[in-house]
Amino acid sequence: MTNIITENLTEPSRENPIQGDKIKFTNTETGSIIIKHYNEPYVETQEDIDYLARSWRDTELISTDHIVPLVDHPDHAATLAYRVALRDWPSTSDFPDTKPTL
Amino acid sequence: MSSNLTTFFPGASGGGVSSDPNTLLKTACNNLSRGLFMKVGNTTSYHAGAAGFWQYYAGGGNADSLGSYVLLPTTTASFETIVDFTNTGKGGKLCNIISPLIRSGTTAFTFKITIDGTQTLISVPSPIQEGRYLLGGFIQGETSYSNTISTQFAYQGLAYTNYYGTVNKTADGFFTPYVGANNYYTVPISLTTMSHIDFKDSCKVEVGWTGTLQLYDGTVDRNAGAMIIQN
Repeated sequence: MTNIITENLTEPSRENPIQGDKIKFTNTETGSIIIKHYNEPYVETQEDIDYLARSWRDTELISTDHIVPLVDHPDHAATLAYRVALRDWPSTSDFPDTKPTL
Repeated sequence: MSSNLTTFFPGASGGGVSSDPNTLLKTACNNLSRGLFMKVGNTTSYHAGAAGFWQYYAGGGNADSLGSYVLLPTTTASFETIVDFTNTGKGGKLCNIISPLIRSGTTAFTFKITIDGTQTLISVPSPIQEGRYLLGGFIQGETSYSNTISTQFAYQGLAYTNYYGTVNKTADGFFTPYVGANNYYTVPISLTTMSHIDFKDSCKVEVGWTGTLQLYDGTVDRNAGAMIIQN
């Protein structure tokens, strides 16, 4: 079993590290030592969620660009409707939880 | 006339991978912090201006995580440490380093990399503004948000479509294809197949700068990171 000794070099008496604390990890089995900074766990914000949803939407529009000029493509009409739904999506109540589907 | 092939193909003991930080690929990404990406799932990708990018870059932030990052202060009078690793006799690989976002307030920037006790300074005396400087292996182009990679990678990356006409090399030696709004890079998964260096015992990565680090997207713009594989 790997045995890691953790020390807070910034504030040795602090049991739970805070953002920016310098932490030393010593592996007593291999002898390796790594010193890095503690960072608070990431909490996804609504802004992040919206950004990721818009990014997905943009990629879907790009991936269907090539069908737009192909009027005899079997999925042409459905794709045009899908692209309209994608463009409208951010202003609807479905955004960002329910994605439009083709 | 005979040739000595070992000159070109080092033997197994040599490994063929340098320990000199100057051999790391030097690049610079997009004019703002959104030029560096990490794909973290079939349909999820974060840019370096988002906290999620750094969380995934650093893994769990524990002893075994490959990546490390630090939120740098706005100003500094010395060098700030990103990671300090010792693995005596076993060593490891230094895969990549990410600078903080460099904007107009930063008038010079320096990477200090100490490999097995030997210190190397890689300086950017006249940094281009609004971008991040990168050392080591990164994929050129923006990652796709879709699980159907196909053509979107090249299209969104734009580096493909602008590469030949606008390739640049700054006076500071950093390769900057298309220095503009579309100069994207992505953190790779295949770390050891890309630019990296080996070390035998220890590796320390620090950064220093003159002037101030200014924000664009948020405090994560002052994050700097490094990724190490432990042998």
